[in-house]
Amino acid sequence: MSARSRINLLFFLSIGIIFLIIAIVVPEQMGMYELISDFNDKSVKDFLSAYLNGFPHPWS
Amino acid sequence: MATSQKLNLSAFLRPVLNRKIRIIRTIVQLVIFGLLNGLMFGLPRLPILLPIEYPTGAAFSTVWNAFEALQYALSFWVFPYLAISIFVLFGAVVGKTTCGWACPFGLVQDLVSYIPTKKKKVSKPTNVSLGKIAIVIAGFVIAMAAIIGITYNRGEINKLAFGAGKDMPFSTLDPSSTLFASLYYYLKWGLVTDSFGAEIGQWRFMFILRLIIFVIVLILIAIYPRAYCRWICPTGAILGFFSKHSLLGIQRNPNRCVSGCNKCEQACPMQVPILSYDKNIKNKMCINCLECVEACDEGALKLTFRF
Repeated sequence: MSARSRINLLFFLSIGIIFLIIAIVVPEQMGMYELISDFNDKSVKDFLSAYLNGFPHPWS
Repeated sequence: MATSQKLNLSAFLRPVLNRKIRIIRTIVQLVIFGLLNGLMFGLPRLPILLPIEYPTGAAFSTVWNAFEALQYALSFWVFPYLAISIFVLFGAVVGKTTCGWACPFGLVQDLVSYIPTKKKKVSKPTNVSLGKIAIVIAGFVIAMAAIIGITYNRGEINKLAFGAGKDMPFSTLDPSSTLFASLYYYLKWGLVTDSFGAEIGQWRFMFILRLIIFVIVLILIAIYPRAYCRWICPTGAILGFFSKHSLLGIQRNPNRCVSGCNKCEQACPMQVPILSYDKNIKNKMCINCLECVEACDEGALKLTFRF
């Protein structure tokens, strides 16, 4: 692997690890993805609208 | 007698043995597809992101689609640290291996490629040019999600103006979402009820549009293997940005590659110009499917960590 590729790889790895740490440390970030962990809950059914647009009666 | 039976058996098994990497890959893809649908088998839903084309909202999905998570976070004006880190880390460490070995829509494309239609290839420059469509789609969707996020930031109610695409714009048309989520929900809620005939008349424009897109993509991948991966998939386009310098990748030994038979390039479903690289195959389209490794009679190609 060339020196340039190594530098790019190390740069990407550092960015990835830093962002991952931020995502784990900041509660707002983790809450974002845990928010809709249960799709049976009525409050998250709205999320499914992206897949169901144009459906006749999705909730009936 | 015993020798002739052995010969017959080896002749019978030869096609299987010659394609053993492909068979192993298909088994891995099927096992991962089962795990992704783990809710069906009692597995819990996890806040884990994967850079694959499988809708988060699929009925039995256990994980998050990283590209949907990226859009979802942006549309609520939250910086998508987790989604970006997943793309960067997966791309930098294993490249686009997830596309070749874990993506359910990749599995669908591989299965469609078994349909005995005449397969076509485009020229190398055309393949590169068409690959830019995926980058444009990814850029447009990210910009769209950011615009929705800005709108949300100015007032929660304003976001509703974006309709069904208000959380994840790409998922409203994504063929993978159509296959794994929309059609499933339609079968569940539409066909199971007694009023299917009456409901057909109520299909709306967007649903018909996404069905048309899905059918076009199906036809495309039946003619051009892995066409969706190569030219349309935004997840693959983002991963490709980091995978060029990935740790895991294909390495070519030019000393062994003496005949220049071109079998590797012929076997590659992504049309990667393998022979144009001296040692490391640094191509953003390579999905590490190992079709080239299997095709090479000289053993000049191998999958390795290249640091």
